[in-house]
Amino acid sequence: MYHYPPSVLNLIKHLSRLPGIGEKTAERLAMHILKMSRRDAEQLSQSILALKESIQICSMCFALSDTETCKICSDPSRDASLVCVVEQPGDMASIEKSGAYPGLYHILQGVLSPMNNIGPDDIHIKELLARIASGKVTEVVLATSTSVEGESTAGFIAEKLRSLPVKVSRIASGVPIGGDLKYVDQVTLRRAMETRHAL
Amino acid sequence: MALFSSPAILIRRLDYGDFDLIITFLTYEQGKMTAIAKSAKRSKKRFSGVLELFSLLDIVVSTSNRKGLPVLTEASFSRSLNHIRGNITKTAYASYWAELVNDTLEEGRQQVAVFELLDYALKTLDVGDIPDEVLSILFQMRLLTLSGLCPNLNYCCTCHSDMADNNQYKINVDLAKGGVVCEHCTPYSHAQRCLARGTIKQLQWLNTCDLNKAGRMRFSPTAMRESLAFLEAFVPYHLGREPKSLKFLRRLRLQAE
Repeated sequence: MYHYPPSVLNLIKHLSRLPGIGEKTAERLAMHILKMSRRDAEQLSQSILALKESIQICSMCFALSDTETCKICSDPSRDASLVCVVEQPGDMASIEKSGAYPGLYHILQGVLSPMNNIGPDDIHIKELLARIASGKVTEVVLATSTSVEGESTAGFIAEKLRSLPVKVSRIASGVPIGGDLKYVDQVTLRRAMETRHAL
Repeated sequence: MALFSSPAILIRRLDYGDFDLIITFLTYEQGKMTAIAKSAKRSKKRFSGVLELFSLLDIVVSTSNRKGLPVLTEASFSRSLNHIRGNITKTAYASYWAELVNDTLEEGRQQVAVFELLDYALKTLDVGDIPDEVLSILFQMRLLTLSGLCPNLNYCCTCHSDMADNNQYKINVDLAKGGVVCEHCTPYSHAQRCLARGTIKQLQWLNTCDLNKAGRMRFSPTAMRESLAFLEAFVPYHLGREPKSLKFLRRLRLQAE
């Protein structure tokens, strides 16, 4: 590795800190960047800097945003009476890609986790309750993950919302499209049976 | 390369890289065991929805003489816990017990009694036959006994006088000495808390009774509070640290008040 000049070694060192990138991949990426035109390299470095300088957290839903309120929260065509609660911005992105949800979001930025001592005050539950108490929301869709922590977070939020005049629903879980029934776990299959619908 | 199969309870789950999981099981055959589940997070056939905390699984693990963790090759549900999943208080208790088991056991040594205790506690917590707090008292007392750390509630830890002959209503407890101290020895100890005689008898009964009869025990609110406060101070003192899930449980109780 010492046959590279310090500037290349420095880039390899920084790239290899990224998740899923080892030293060899970092070396390959560094060589690719070296071959790029100066303009492309500048654009890459500027976009990384711009990301760090302009990204902030939306004051309403806690999603990543370039402005104080994100695009979804400030979009008048979205149904403001519907709020979907998710764990991370990536979960919101997945639901958005599906195109099946017309409402707004609330991102908890985590999940209740006893083993990591992450309690209700460490994620945005208080802000969700304040948002619901403001009275504009009529339905809250709990779309936390179906892990033990995700399910208990959903249960905790549902309990907190019980006293408020709002409908609380949980996303369904069932057999994935194209899935083979013999590989589906028994909890999922049981839920799929319980929430079956008429055709 | 050898294959090993056993019933196992999943007690800890850590993300490793983008798709792998490092999982700690309490197995029936070999006690505590840590293994890596490769590509578990994107697995649709081998591990789909199975590797969930507190589940009782039938696992197959591949071990080799080379360095590195054993590899989990198969896992199937033996029992899932549906009521614990949606309830944060039950999840917190289950997490506390799993953390205690993880912290107190040595890897690779068969611990059938601890396996049966955790299995019973999780199953009963899920069904909800016994109040969560009573179950936690029972679990802590029995785990302490199995780990050789059972609090001494029979004799004074300093002068060894039989506490059955003691007429005091409240008996002092010294965490450092590992149990109760009589009123004569209290000035010479670091006793900071006390237990009612009735509470001590209930703790002793829970520690020795047939598990299937444990549900018969009725704790008064005061006895329950006293027992939990005592055990949740005793356990961290002798463990040398306060489990994270116990901190979480305390925060949850504070919020509920």
